[in-house]
Amino acid sequence: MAQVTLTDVNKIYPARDRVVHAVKDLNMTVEDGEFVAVLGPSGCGKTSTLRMIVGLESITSGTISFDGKPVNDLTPERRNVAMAFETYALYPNFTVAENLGFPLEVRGLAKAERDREVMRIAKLLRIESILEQKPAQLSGGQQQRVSLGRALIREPTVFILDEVMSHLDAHLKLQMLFELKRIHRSVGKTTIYVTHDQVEALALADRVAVMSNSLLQQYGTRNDLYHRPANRFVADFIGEPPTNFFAAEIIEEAGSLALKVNGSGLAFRPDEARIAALRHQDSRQVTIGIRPQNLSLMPLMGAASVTARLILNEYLGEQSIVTLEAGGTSFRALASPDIRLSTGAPVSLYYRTGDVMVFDPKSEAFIG
Amino acid sequence: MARLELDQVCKGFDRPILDRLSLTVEEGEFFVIVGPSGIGKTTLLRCIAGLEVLDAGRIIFGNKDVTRVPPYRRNAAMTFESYALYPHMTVFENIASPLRARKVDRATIEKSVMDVARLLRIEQLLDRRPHEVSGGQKQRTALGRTLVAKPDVFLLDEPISHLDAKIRHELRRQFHTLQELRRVATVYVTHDYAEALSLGDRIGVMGDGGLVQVGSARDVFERPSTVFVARHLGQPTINEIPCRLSNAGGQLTAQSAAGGFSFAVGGPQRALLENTQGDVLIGIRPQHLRVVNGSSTGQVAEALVEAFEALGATGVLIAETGGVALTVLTSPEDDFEPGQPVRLALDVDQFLYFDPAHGRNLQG
Repeated sequence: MAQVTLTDVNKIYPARDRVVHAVKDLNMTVEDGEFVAVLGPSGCGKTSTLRMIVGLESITSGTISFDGKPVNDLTPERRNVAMAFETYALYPNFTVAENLGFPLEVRGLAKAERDREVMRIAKLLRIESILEQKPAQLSGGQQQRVSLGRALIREPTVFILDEVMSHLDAHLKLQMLFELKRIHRSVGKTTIYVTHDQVEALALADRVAVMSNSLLQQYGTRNDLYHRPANRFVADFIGEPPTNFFAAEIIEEAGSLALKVNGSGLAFRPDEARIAALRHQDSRQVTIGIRPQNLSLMPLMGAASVTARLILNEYLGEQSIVTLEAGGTSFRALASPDIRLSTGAPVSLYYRTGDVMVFDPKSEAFIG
Repeated sequence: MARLELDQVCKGFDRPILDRLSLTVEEGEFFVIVGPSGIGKTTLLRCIAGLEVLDAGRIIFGNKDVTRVPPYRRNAAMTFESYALYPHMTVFENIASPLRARKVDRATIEKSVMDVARLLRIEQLLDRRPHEVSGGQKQRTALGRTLVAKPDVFLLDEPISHLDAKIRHELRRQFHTLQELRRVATVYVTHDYAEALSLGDRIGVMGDGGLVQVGSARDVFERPSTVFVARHLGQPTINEIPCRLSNAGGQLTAQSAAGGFSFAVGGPQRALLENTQGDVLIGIRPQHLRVVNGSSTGQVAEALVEAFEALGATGVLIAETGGVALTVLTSPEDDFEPGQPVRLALDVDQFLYFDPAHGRNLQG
């Protein structure tokens, strides 16, 4: 078990006509036993980060330490990091038991001991019944479990999972989320999970590192990312349906502040705590963000409201997504599937002032 | 412009995929086919396009039987899951390609491509090649190429499943508003039930051999004809609990096979099930169970938390009551610890009842 620390880590790939700066000045610590997700769109630097931790990629500058000891110069084997991949990479002509036992066989463990370990891991992953089958006979979810088991059986210091669920279907994915969390609880190993899927990252991890453009944008809990996103990118990337953004102007209204959306009649009220921060803004222009699930068609206690016209009502079974329009600005809200409204109907949307996020339109940083 | 009619269509490879499938898609209708992967959705589209030869049955566009008409003369336009753009051509040339093949004059091509590009908001990309644009833009280019052809029938195969969530939402909205799509018969294939419910004027749920149920979004989600349909639509998956119905003193009660979970059958189902004694399979959607604090007016079950995950806009709780593990939809802001007792309100009027042998919905 180990604490993993990255200090001023950079990765630069020399290319023919330019250099690619894949990871810039990355500083983060994964505590011993913690489950951390590294999340970002493709090309954000998350895979380079992971490969440097594993030792598959050299570190251009900076230090990666396990329990305070730099590992920059250690080979992947000496770092004792185990990795499971998106492609399960199982040996097709080995049975499940042989696939699981292989890392131990390489280490020269006796057969009796190997069998005991294989059984222990198989029980943990609930795959005892398929030990004698070959990978081709297994479903995608089962193959993924075997692949995880093979990584776990090595008793690694750090456990790394690279996009392990991206090609499971939605039903299986939900099952695997529960499984992975249960496994992490029972083995308690330091785990780094790399994904582009925010639902997976937020569901699994104690903390999430959001990366974009080679930079760490924010490192925090689900609650931090949802309610105090560091910048517009994080607010936009986290949450589905996507966050609504509006360009707005700060106006004084009856001794209070309001955020009037440019070119439309919409005006949102920020909460008391934010007003102070907004009064200190040099510019009157801001970007506001509000999540579709924080706009309610049902009246809420102590909530403010805006009015808009319905342009689309998408029934999705468990819920509906309504698209609304006011003065040329369109945005979405989540609604109950029982709501039956037709296009063009005026709709009141209730929101809690604390859910209105405000960003600087130039730097895109979170103001409050 | 035409309606599309499939009459007793049969197609198989090593096993039957489409078994006497009949379906009419009206002119202007957006018909969505949803089903698990590998069930034959793409095969059906390929049959309509003429890329597969039928084993039996007829395909009719308007009043013309096209069963033996080769694909290039059918006037159906299809987009593929893999986009299939020409890599050496620009976005403009890709969109223009069906018109060029038909030797349409240059000015008309120019105008048609520009119209479609504006509609799909890719005007600024027309000079780029496919490798220089994003996945969403490639998809819009492929769609543009389909739209410009002004076909009688649009065939769309998983056109947005590989795109990220943000673009998916935007394209879904475009599908709703594109007038071009609303003038012809469209068949749209997806494995994503939410996409199907959102887009389809009608939805066909595909199982082994063909369409298990055809209906509106509310029909297939709220009144599934079989447990297969109920299981395929919805995330998290519907809870399925084998139960026994018993009628004692005018009270119709359902009790789980192990006996620990029971409830009084809801009003809407009571009359219908009055004479059904014995085994039933009960389907409970996770949103029809709710965690309540303190007292609740309706029926409740006392349960213990097994696990909880906060997903995007929802939370998923697994709680055990009387030997039955129930999946419950909650808020992502909730937090439950394993072992914690919770009280579940049962929205019994919404529960579904299936025949345990064939999975047929007993409410018709």
